[in-house]
Amino acid sequence: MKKDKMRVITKFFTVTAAVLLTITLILPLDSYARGGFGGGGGFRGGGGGFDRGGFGGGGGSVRYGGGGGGFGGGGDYRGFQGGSYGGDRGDFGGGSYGQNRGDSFSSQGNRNFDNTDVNRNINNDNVNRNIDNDNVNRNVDNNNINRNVDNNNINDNYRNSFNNDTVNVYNNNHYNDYWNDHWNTWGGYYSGWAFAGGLAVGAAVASLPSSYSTVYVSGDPYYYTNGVYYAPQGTQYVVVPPPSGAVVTSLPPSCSTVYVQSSEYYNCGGAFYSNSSQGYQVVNAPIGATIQTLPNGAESKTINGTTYYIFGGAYYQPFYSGNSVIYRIVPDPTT
Amino acid sequence: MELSSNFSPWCFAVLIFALFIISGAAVPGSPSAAAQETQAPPKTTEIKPVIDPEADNLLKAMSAVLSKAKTYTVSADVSYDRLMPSGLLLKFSGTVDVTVERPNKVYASFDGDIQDRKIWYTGSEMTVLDPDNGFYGALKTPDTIDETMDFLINDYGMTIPLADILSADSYKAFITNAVAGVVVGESTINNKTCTHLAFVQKYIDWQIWISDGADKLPCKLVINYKTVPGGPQYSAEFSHWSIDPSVDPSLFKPDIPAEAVKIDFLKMQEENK
Repeated sequence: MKKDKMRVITKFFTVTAAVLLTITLILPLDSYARGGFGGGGGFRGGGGGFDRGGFGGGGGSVRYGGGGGGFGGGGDYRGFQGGSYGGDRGDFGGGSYGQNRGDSFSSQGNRNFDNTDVNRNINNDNVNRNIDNDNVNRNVDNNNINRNVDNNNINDNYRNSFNNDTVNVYNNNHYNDYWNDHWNTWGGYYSGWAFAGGLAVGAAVASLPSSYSTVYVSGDPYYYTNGVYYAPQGTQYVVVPPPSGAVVTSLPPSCSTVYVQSSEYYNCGGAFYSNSSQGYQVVNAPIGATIQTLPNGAESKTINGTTYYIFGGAYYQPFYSGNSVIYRIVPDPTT
Repeated sequence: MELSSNFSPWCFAVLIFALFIISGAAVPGSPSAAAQETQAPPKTTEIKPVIDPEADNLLKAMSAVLSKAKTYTVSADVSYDRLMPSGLLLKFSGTVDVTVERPNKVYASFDGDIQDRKIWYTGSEMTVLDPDNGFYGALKTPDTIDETMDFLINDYGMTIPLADILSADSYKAFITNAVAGVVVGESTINNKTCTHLAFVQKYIDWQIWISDGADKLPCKLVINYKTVPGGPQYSAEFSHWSIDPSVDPSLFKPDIPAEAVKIDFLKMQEENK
């Protein structure tokens, strides 16, 4: 008797589920549009953040986590605003200045300095060159996860993983950005004072790599390949920081997108590019941009009681934002 | 896995109702319903949650234990998913230790795969330390734990670990947004028999396991984020509950390494500047 009843209810459930599934399929993906990491609305509307910067997976709060809001909904995580991750209230702010999309997932500051990295690469064609405790990965056409055991970094290189269209879609969602900003700390290509494609800035080579393009900046030739710039010096070539103004047709292998106001920039390990009609142009670090992870090789300096990190001539100031630490590019505090 | 007898047919009805609510299909006043029923004008009826009274009572009992405790300590093994851009869902984990002295003291320490953090809350001030990168910061805060949690989330987008159980009224914290709740059955967690409850909200589903016996305490909490790509899950398995232990007051005193660098907090409003 009881069993029969159960069967009837189960059957009803099945039919209902089928109807609901149909309805769900017909309905627009509204929830995604409003979406939010956790919903579309504010925190108080039910909250939203799954992650909130990741204090242990974002707190995992029912009260602050369900229904409404957002992860993207909010300010901090404004990164996701407008995209599928964006909530529509935007009150979870944390405050990344300058609309840095993609800060959201943040869960850590930079834990990367001077560590010996161990990479476990899954499913890829990967070359890792580990030089003097610093790590440069050149990932070609792969889906790559580097789990750096000592410092718990994950590099998921979307630029390698997705074609351009996909990347654009993701940029709209402001999702991937984070991952790059956040996890791709290895980006040694303008680790100026650390590495550039496996070569330290200042390193001299007798001949250029097999494929390179020549770019001119103020009439001076530079040779560009894979994120690395060489300048002729006598009979040799010297690795130099990305010369401001240089235009290249392809970005370095690992870049994340950052936004300042509505301008889009690519942060390639501390070298910044903006879109140009002919490709991508090397620009000065955009003041107001917020990143998750300092470029490798940034050096700390305390000025008037405030600690900054300096890299490539830019000043990065750390802040607590939501549950994570972010770095904002600020004007030179000494001027 | 078999459902226990507690998982009655009634539960199915509740869940089905919840599905209707969530899909928006059967809710008067929702756009889809309005479009289908041309003769009746759309109503703005409030959705009435459908919570199994047994589940509701257990949640209340648990909340009462937590509210009554002057002090308590608990540890939790936490895991949570992160979706990689490649589509791979990774699971990370960590351990949270929390000590609470009502109404206005909390010490929380999180030791995780990708983040470590300590928080001290003393009624007037909250101090945060990130031991890994050597940063710390301090904020003036409201007088009570509840006010402070609201203040932190609203003004700074910050959360304190295990926020739901820190609240003076955790029942309210849990139930506010639930549209359906059922008793699933019994589970054994950390050698304790616990009753498994499941709740449905619009954007999350969550499950809580509450220990049987005199002290109704959370054994485990699981949250599924339904609208988040990858459907990530958060899980906290509680252990070492201690209700009304004597707590060394020095635990609530921030312990900041001399070399730590003090940094500021960004307010959420700054975002819009």
